[in-house]
Amino acid sequence: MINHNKIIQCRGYHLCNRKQTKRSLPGFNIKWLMLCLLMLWILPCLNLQAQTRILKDTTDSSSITRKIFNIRQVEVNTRKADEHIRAGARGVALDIDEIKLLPRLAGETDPLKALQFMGGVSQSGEASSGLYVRGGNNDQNLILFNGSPIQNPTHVLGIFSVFNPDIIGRMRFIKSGIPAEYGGRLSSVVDINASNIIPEKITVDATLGLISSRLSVHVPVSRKLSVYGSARGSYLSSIVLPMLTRLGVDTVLTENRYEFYDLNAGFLWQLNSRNRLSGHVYAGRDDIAIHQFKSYNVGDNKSGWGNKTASLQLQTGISGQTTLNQLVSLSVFDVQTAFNWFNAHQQISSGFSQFLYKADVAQLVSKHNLRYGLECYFHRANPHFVSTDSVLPVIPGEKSPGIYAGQVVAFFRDEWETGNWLFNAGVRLNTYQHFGPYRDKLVDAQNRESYFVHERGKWLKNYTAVEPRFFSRYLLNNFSSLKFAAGRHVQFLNQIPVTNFGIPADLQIPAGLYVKPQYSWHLSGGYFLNTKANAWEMSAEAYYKTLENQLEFNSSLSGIFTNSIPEHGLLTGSGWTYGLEYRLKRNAGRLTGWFNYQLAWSYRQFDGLNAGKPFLAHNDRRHDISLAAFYQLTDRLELSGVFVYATGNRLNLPLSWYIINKQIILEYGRYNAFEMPPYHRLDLSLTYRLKDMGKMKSELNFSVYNVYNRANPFNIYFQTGNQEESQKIKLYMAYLLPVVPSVSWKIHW
Amino acid sequence: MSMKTMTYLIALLMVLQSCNPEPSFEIRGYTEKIIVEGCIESGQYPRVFVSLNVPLSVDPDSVNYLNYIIRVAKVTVSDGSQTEVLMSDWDKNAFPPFSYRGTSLKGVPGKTYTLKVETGGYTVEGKTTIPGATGIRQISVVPSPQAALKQLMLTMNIIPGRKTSFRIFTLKKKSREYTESPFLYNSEFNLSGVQTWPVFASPEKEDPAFSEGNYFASGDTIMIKIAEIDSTSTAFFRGMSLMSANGIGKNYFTGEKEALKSNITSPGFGIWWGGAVGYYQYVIP
Repeated sequence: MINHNKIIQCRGYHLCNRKQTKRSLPGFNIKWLMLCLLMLWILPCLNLQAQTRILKDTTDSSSITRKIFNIRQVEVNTRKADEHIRAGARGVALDIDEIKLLPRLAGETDPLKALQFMGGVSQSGEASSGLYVRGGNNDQNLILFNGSPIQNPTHVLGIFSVFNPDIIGRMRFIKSGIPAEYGGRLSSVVDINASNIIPEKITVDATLGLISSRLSVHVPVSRKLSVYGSARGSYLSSIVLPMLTRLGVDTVLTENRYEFYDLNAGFLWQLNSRNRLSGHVYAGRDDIAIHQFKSYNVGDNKSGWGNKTASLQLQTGISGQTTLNQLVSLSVFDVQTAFNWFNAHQQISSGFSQFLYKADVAQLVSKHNLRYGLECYFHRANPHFVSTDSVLPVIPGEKSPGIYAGQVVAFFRDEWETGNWLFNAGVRLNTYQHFGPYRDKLVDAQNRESYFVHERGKWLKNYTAVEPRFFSRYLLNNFSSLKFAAGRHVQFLNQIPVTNFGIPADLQIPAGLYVKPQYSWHLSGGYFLNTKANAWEMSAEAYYKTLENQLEFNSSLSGIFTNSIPEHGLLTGSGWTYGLEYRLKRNAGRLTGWFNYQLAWSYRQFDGLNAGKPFLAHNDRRHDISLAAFYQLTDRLELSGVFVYATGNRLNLPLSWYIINKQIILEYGRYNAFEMPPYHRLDLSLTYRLKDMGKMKSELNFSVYNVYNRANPFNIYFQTGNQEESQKIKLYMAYLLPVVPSVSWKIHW
Repeated sequence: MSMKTMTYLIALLMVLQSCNPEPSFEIRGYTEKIIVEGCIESGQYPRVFVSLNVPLSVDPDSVNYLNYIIRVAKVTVSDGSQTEVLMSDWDKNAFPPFSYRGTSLKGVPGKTYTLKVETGGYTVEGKTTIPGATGIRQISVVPSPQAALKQLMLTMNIIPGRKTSFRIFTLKKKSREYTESPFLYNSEFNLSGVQTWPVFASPEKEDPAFSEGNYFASGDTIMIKIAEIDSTSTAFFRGMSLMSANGIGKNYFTGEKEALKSNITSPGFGIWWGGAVGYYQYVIP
């Protein structure tokens, strides 16, 4: 223990005239100490440098400045060791560096896919970045990048997400006790932010992978301004597929085409000590052409989809206790599909655009951590528009203006701690307005249908919704706590899947004249425990969730062409999910990692499906296990592995066949009565940090995806044998990814 | 890593690899249904096929299917004033080769017909109406991408609010039987007035006209059959249309949401439809 009575001495140097001021503290005096601390705080602001030097350690004969310890490794962590048991409604902060050590698919690290290894999160199927949180649907997750909602965050049929790990600074995932500052989705929040640190020097990160590469640059323009940019692009069609063809894999492959790219750019500007401005733009796109669609009389098919977002964020420190955050963002998502079908050129386009202004205040008042603010949204959705040069009149040619809606949300929440209790209570007040122009159908007294367009600005339908949120934590002792959360959630924006697999041919249909908003009540509670000086974390949590106004597409694909108001082709129902989650995590030591197990049920009930009886949801997963482990073999070598196991998706399969109109027709059984084979795979990764070459640091990563070559189902479908063979109804299981070894080289300057 | 650990690891991987699934499912819940396909066209006698649905485990070949054709049934058709019990007969040129046919009651546009099938102690029924015939206004052709072939076009006047759709069949001279254009025209009842439609031939692989694809050869004499059907029948055939989930091989994109809209009572399933039918002959210019 250092005795401050004798040893404290402060020196302040004025940088301009180097005038030295020296003051000795002859004895302990609280005033002088306070003054000294105050000076230490003020001097940096006055562009002075302060030095504190320990002259003598009275507890030790030698000066501690000369005492050198050989420390093998120092871990600097912004996360509190006991955050697991003490944290409020803030969800889980994901360690980006840890994510980068996870096994990679084709050299690509995927932050969003890493969420699938968290408890309570299921992936939709093989090679998908879709998230099904606690039995909810994929569109029920609010995915924010620098505050901007991302509509479809996936590349390559869902195999990769659009997020480039090199520019991510923080990533937070909240699935229960979602605080009132987040809203708009029923199941979870994934809040991803680019790094908010102005670097001291130019940093460059590059990764060379098998199917794509990426480059990120972060440049400090001054001490107050930095800019960054990153780009990622694939070369599947130009390099990978021709190589596979040369290896004799499948000549048809070269007739397929698949490319994707994404670009990020932004800046961070510390305007002054109170204001910080940051901006970010993102543009990403996928382009695909699949040869196999020719068998459906579909030729020359091309499909492309992408997100574009731009956001500007101003953070203003009003006082030491109050901060105002303002965000303006614009996000656009579109899907364009063009093909020849029955000798006519068809083009289907759909999309969604959203403008957001958000102002929220974070304020500390005594023990109360307040957050309140306002969100204003403007949405425009184009569920789908078919344009064609076909003369076939079943295809409507009149363009719908889309669906326009506005939304205003006011929110307030308070988090405070009293004794062993911590509470987080809040509320969101929503008002949502669907307005014209809007293409509608009119049925007259003779049952004749005609279409008309509601005039621009006409108010068509209003919804108001109150979302109370509550979270509490009770500390049982220093190493365990109980947590309980309850909340109501509302969702006005819907993405309704049309196909069974990863093409984002979802219908973008916001709530409106014919579609009600989705509602949910979510209750959860659990026991949280840390042991061995916080080296081990354990939790057991139970949840129950209700889902109202769930939507299903109730039409065949041909209905896309013939149903000019897709809202009329939807089924509405309800759902409920419940389950138990168990989590075990090891934070310290050479071997770290986690184990998650989920036992869950997810039900849906639609009047128009399964004769109105409840059925298991497509994403019902009775058992879901994920195991991740990281082992530091040497200073330079790190081994990691991930094992996942999940009960198979529910599936609607035929029971029998019959012949009508000379066609073999399948008779389907109870809705989702079948279960796909279980999904499981093991991925391994070895990361070797190469010797530094000057300022350049680099590492090689060897990953093996699906080590034991498990054929996990991607899709299951029926076909008959061809004419030469005897007719057979054969069940086919398509699977995408066998064992996929990959190597990638990552460079950092 | 020791040799022993390595051996365990390899053994574990082998066990996991052996879990590779063949996509086989135990089909549970199969129950027999009386499958009925019956039609009564204007000016024609009714014709009805009766069978059972076949478990998925049985391959769909003609031999297997014969075992599920119901050959002992009493099939009755009534227009409210006249009732006829249909006669059963084999027809080797038709598929299915066994059907029940009428000999006295013919379809008349505007009339409603009831079908009753009694077999094995069960009775299933259906009802349909033959709508009033619309008729074709004009038959024409437009060039196709292949110079020697033409795209066939039909012009019709749709009466709004009638809620009828159109099944269009064509027969080429070289072909053995009519093929149906793979669209159900006006299936959403959203059209009115004069409409011109392309008609696609859809010959099977074994058809001599297969190489002509969806088009028609210049100089060829073709027969065109148009059947106007009511809204109940439209709902059923719409479900069977191209890219629907029900047909074999058609559920690659999407799973079935609901069964075909049968108008046959339980434990039966299928369709009893009436069509206002017109036949036209046309020489492709």
